[in-house]
Amino acid sequence: MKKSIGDNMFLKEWGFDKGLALVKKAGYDGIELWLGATPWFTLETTDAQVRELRRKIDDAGLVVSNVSNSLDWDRPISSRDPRVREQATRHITRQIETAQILGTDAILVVAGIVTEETPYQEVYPRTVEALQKLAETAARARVKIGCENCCSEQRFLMSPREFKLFLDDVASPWVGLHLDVGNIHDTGFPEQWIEIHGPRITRVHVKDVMRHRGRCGNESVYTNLFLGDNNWKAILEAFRKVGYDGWLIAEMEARYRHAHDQQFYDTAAAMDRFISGQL
Amino acid sequence: MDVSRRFFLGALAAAPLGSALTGPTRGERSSCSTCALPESRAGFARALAGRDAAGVLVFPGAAGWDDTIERRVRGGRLVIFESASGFAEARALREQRAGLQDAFGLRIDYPVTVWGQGRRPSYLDLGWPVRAHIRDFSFAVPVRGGEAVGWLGPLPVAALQRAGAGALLFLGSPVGPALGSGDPQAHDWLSSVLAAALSLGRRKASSSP
Repeated sequence: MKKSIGDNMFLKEWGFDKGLALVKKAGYDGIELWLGATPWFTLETTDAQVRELRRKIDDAGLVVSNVSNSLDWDRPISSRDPRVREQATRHITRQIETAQILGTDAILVVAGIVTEETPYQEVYPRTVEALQKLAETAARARVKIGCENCCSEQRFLMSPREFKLFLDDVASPWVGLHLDVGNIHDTGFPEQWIEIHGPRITRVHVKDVMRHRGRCGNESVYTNLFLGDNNWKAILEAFRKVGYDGWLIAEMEARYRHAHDQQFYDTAAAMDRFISGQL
Repeated sequence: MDVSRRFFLGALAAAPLGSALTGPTRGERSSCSTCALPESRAGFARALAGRDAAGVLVFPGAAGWDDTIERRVRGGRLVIFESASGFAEARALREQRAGLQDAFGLRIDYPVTVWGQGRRPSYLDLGWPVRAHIRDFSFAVPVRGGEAVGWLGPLPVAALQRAGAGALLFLGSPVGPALGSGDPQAHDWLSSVLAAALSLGRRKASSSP
């Protein structure tokens, strides 16, 4: 397995170049780019500018693990408003285009958001329909769409079996699961998700979670690897069982308050321990 | 005439649903109401498929107005006009407002954001031809005039206006999406509307010389 981390973890004052250098120095193999989350990669970023980003990544000795986006929460493909759905289709299509330029074969989307206003029974068919259309674009580009399991935040597809039925309904080999092992909280166990989804897993986000604490104000339930309640040994065994040997991408929501760059080193070291099975 | 595929599909999406599709339309002047809510159209189409919809004409998710509606209603149709002004440009609402006022004396107001300002009403209560409790669809167009037959809380958002041999059923809160997602009350309500249209047609036939 290979290690990656998101450019959305760079401090604003670092900029892209300094952040990239840190990622390399800390020992990662790749970088996850977040469309819409940073000033260097937005919907206005041209193809030429994306190529320039790739050149810098190549020069740093890294590769792009995947392209994610931070736009789905405000512009979901499950919106009641067809105009918002059109915007969502546009930014996901742009993800696919930039993934090709950046030389990666996977993107992350948050597919479908249930709210009190937009109920589950509407979100499900709309999301399936939208993904079936996007799958055609993805197939042509040979880029896989990984739908992330943001279970509690999305209030959608809460169990691994439910997620499997959803992917069955989308029915495209170009749409799979971008598994976040920290997002499952107390509604399940990531190792069971891994066994159920196996070859449909496109990429993996790693972070740890304190299952029983719940959110309290701005306090996060997420924490650094090995500090939470995930059973990392079981997770590793499950990856081995299904033959997942792809990217692990650090997505640390809880950030260091001091020596911010230290989190990059510590997380890389923890990921090395995980990959090598020294648990 | 050069008709592009895009234009054709757009025109198809704007076409009303129901038996009138089979009738002659050539020469009818129309400002052509467009459909701003494709899933509402899909919901009605699915619910009407294979059913006897004689005498009913549906304008699902309508943005704008169609000048042929008045003639169709007066001729004996039950026209369901579902407004999607909350999802369309301001011009579409202006057209709709003028059309409803001129042809049927119905006054509609600006769409309200149902979920704004901490309000959580969430259900449309329809009272004709049967009672039905159906999820709101985020925006609603208040209506005054005719017989009020649907409310979001205290706000009248659906009205029945009889004219000539037919009637116009104005829906300011879309029902099509609930039909599409299989809401049983929405389906029962539509069945009752179809039955009401049939009896309207029988009355028209018996009163004809």
